Amino acid sequence: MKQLVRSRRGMSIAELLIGMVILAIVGMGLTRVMSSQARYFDHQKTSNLARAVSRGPLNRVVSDLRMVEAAGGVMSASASAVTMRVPYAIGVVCGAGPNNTYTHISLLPVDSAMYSGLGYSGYAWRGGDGVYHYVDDNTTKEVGTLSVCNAAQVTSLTAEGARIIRIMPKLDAAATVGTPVFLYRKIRYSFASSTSVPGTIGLFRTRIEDNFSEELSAPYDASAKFRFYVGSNLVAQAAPPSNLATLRGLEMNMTGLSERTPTGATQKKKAPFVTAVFFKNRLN
Amino acid sequence: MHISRNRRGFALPTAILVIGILSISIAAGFTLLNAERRGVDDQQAQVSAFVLAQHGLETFFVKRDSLGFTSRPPAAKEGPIRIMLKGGYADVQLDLVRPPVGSLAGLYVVRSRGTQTKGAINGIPAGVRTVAQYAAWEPATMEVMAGWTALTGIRKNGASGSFLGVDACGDSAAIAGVAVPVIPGFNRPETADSTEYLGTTVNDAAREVEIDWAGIVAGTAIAPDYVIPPDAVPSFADTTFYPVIYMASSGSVGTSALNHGRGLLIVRGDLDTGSGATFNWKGIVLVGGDLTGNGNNNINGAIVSALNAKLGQTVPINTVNGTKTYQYNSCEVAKSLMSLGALVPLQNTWVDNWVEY
Repeated sequence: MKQLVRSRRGMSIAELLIGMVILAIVGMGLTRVMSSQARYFDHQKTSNLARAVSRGPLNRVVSDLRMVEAAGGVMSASASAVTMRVPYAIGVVCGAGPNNTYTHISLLPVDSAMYSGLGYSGYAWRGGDGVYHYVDDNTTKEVGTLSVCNAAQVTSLTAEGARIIRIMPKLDAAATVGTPVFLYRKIRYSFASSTSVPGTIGLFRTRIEDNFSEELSAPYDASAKFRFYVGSNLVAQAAPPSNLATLRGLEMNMTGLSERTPTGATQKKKAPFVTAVFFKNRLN
Repeated sequence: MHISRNRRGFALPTAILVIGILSISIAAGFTLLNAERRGVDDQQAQVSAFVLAQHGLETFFVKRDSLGFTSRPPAAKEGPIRIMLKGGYADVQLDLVRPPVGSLAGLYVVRSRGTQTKGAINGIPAGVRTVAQYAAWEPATMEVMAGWTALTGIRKNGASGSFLGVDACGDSAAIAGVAVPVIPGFNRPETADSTEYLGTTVNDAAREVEIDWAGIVAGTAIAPDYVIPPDAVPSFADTTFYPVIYMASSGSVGTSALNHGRGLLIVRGDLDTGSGATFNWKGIVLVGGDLTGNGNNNINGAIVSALNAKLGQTVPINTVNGTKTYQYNSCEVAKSLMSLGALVPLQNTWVDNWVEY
C-alpha cells in the first residue's frame, strides 16, 4: 500500500500581502481606539483629580466655619485669608467652686479628636443680650469638679462624654450660673503658594497659637479666593466689610486643577467649584 | 485520493482581542465613574444629613406640643422622638441642663441627629450628622406694678396690716406696695411700702394695667389647667406645683380647699378670702370684681383686682379688714407664670460637633 504523505499548501505571495494589509488596517484601528481610550481616561482622571482637590478640604472648612460666632468671631479678612475664632466646645457656667478662684464649666459632649486638638486660644462667655465677650487665654484648661456643677443644679451629660473644666481667673461676675461659654481656637484659612504642587495655589489652615500650618489641598487655580456675605445681602462681595461684625458668611472660590497636564492637552484640567458657608451663630 | 482541509484564519482571534480591549476600557470607565459617584454620594449624604438634623431641631422648637411633649416647662428628658422627613429622619432629644431657679428660666439642650436614608448605597453606612442648641424655658412675663394693684382703689379698715413692695425673693427691684387710682385711692398709705397712682380715675387705671383681661375671660389668652366649677380644687401636696386655676364666678375661698395654694388664681367675679378663715397663697391672684380681705390673709406674689373695670363694668372698691400681709415676691410670680412660657432657642449657642457625629 502506498502511503500518502501530503504537506499543507503554503500561502502565495498575493495572499500574504493581502493578509498583511488587512492586519495593518485592523491594527491601526485598534491602536487608534486604544489611544483615544487612553486619552479619554486620562482626561477623565485628571478632571476627577481636579474636582477632588476642591472637595477634599470641604468638611474641615465647613465644620470650622459654621460654628463661628458672627459678631466677634472674625478677626481679619481679605480675599486670600481669613482669621477666625473657631469654637470647638460649648458649655455653661456652674459656679466658682469651694476655693472661689476658678469658674467651673459643664461642657456638652464634643468629638474627642476635635476637643483634644492643639491650639486653644481662649474662651468667650455670652452676656444676657446674647453678645459674646472674648477672653484670649492660652492657658490649658484644667479638669473641673462635677460636684460644683451638681451643687449649682447644672446637669452634665458625663455619661455621653461631657467634660467639666475649670478656668482661672474666674469669669466676669456677670457670667452667672447657666451662662453659655465656648472655647475657641484662632485659625487662619488662606490661599497661598502651594508647597506640595509648586507653581500653583494651595489652601492652608494655620493655628495661630503655635503658628502651625498645614496645606489642606492643592493645586488650585490662581482665581482661588474668598468673597464675603455681608448682612442679609444675597450676593457675596469681593471686599471684606470694614466692620467685620457684619460678616455673615464666606463664599469660597475653589477652582481645582489637575496636578499634570493630560495627554494631548495644552493646560491642566480645571474644575470650577464655588461654595458658601454661613455662620450659624448670629443674632441678626 | 484528494484530502480537502480548511486553512485556519485569524478573524476569530482578532475579534476576541478587540472584544477584550473594549471590555477592559469599559471596565476602567465604570471604575472611574464609580469612584466619582462614591465621592459625590458621600458629599451629598453629609449635606443631606446636616439638613435633616437642622430640620429636626427647628421642627422640635416650633412643634413641640404637636410632637407630644406638652409638659410645661419641659420634663428633665424628652425624646428621643423620630421625626420622619423627606429623604430620611431626625431623632430629636431634649435634656434638662438647669431647672428654673427663682425668676431665672430653665435651661435645656436640644439635639437632633439627622440620618439620610434616600439614596443610601446598600452596605454603606448612612450619612449621619448631629446638631444641638441650648434653649431656655422663658416664663410668660407680667408687668407687676405693685404688691397689690387695685383698679378701683383699696379701703383698709384698721391700722394694722402690710402691703409690701420689697421683693421677698430678693432678686428684683422693689416696687410699690399698692397701686391705685387717685380716686378713690388708698385710705391707709402708712401700711404700704409706698403707693403708686395709676392716673386719676378708675378708667385711667384700667388703661394703665395692660393685662388682656378680655382675652382671659374669653379663654383665648390663657388656657387654664383647672376651671372651677366643674373641676375640683387640685391637691397642692407637691410644693413645685403651680397650676393655672380659673374660677368662673365669684367665690369665697377662705373655707375651701383653695385657702392654701400656689399658682395663678383667676377669679372672674368677686373674691372673698373668708371671714375667720385663712387664705395663704403663693403666686398671682387676678380678680375681676372686688377683693374683700377677711380673715387671716398671707399672699406672697402679686395681686391685681377689679379687672372687670377694663371691660367697662362697675366694680366696688376693694376692702381689707384686719391684719393682713400682701407681699410682692418676684420668684412666686415667675413660678406662677412658668407654665405659660415657651421653649425658646438660645441664639448663638448652636453646635454641630456633638460627639455622635
